[in-house]
Amino acid sequence: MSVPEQIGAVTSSALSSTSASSSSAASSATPASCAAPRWVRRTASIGAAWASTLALFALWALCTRSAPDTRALPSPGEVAAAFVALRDEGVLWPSVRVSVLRVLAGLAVGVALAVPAGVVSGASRIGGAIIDKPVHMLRAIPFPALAPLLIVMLGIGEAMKVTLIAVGAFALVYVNVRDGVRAIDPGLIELARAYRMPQHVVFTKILLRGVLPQFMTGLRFAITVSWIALVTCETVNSSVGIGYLLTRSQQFFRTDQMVLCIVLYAALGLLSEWIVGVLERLLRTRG
Amino acid sequence: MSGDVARTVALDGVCKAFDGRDVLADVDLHVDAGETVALIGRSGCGKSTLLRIVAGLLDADRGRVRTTGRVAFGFQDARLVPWLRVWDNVTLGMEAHAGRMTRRARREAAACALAQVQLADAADKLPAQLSGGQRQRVSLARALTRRPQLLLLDEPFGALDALTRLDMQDLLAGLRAQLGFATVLVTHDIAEAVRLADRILVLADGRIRDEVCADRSRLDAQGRPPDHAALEGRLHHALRG
Repeated sequence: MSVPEQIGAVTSSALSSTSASSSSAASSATPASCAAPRWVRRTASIGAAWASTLALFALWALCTRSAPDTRALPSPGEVAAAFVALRDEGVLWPSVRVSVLRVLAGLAVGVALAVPAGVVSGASRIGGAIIDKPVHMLRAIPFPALAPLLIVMLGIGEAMKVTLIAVGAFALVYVNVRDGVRAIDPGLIELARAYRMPQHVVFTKILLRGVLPQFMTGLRFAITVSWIALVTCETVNSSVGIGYLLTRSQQFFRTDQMVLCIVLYAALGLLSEWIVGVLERLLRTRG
Repeated sequence: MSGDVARTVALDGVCKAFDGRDVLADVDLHVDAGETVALIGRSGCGKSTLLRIVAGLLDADRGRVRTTGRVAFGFQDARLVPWLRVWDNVTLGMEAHAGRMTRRARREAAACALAQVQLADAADKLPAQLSGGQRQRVSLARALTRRPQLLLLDEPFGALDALTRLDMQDLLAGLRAQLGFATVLVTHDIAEAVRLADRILVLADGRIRDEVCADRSRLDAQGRPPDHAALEGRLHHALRG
């Protein structure tokens, strides 16, 4: 963009304040109040949201009513007992804490790298050409295939685990941010040029905010993939973590503990989704 | 530059081609301070290209382009950022000068601009909550925050209904009289051009084919020059020719 040569300034008349006549058509229509009170509607809404989950648990309980030695699947009661046993053993909460920290660290690294890479790739053809192919190759490699290579490169410590999760998170956030940037209305970029907005304003108020919906979609998928990557990396030299508990329970054929780990993954996944939802609402409110 | 002191736009011999097709050929355009110039012509005649060259959004292939430093641009679609509230959309107009303005000065300028377009009570709304006319008012407020010496408008009222369009034309005429900025207005609407402009340029095949001046020293009850019918007839003829 070129800035036209400027010619002599003309005496400007300062903007004079005029009183607002406030004639805007502010619609102040109040919606007709519904028959049911708000708390009833809220409770009904929450009940409906949880109904399918509760139905699954009910079905599980129904299917495991027979004697324990006649079935392979443990009952909810047996899984609850495994929860208490592992808690008393002192391995449950440290494992949950370590797994959550590994996922958070991997996600943080993955997202921190994916957002700028996605913005560069989406905004620049050359950037896209450079970044796209390696990322597509990387995301096509299954975690169990990538883990040995990372062990060779990084050892069997936390760095390898965090890196594996970061790789999984990176690809999904990257693709969504890239597509989000490409989908931004070019008219808004033209507006920014017409008003000579500084780059940081264009980046924060138009690009970053514009890709927020796609970023949140990418983040949701990335969190799911992070939990999957966690299982793979916690099977390597781990003495703590949900993946470690899962591997241990498989070795000792403790199906109650195996199902407990699955329930923990599911609960943490649900919690992650809730946190992302809250984060999304906060970011949207802040504009 | 002393000769250009009263000018806000000086284009000399400007040429522009897209894919080998000449869109503008040797165009001269000079706009004095406070003057309103309307550009009319058939679709594809180069009106919007000319306006974008003045705004610095496009480079001319040849020729000299000089404009005043304080330019604001109004788009046909209002071009509001959908996720920003009205207040934030208006303050976007000042981002280029944010470093030179105190936070208080920016707040006052935004409040003043919203009051000038009679939308002071819509500051917290999102663009989706506004009508087409209100969105154009916000766009105008955003432009006013720059304290423009030159306002470039690309068919700003083209998408509005007839009554809202008349309201917006009155608003623009009032603001221009109050603040004294020059305006270059691209429009398809001959009546709008006659109602608002001091000078109307007819573009055809990338050249300025005709120029019609409107005597705005006397206006009728609807804000038009007394000889508006004759001017409109002449412009119709020029466009058909």
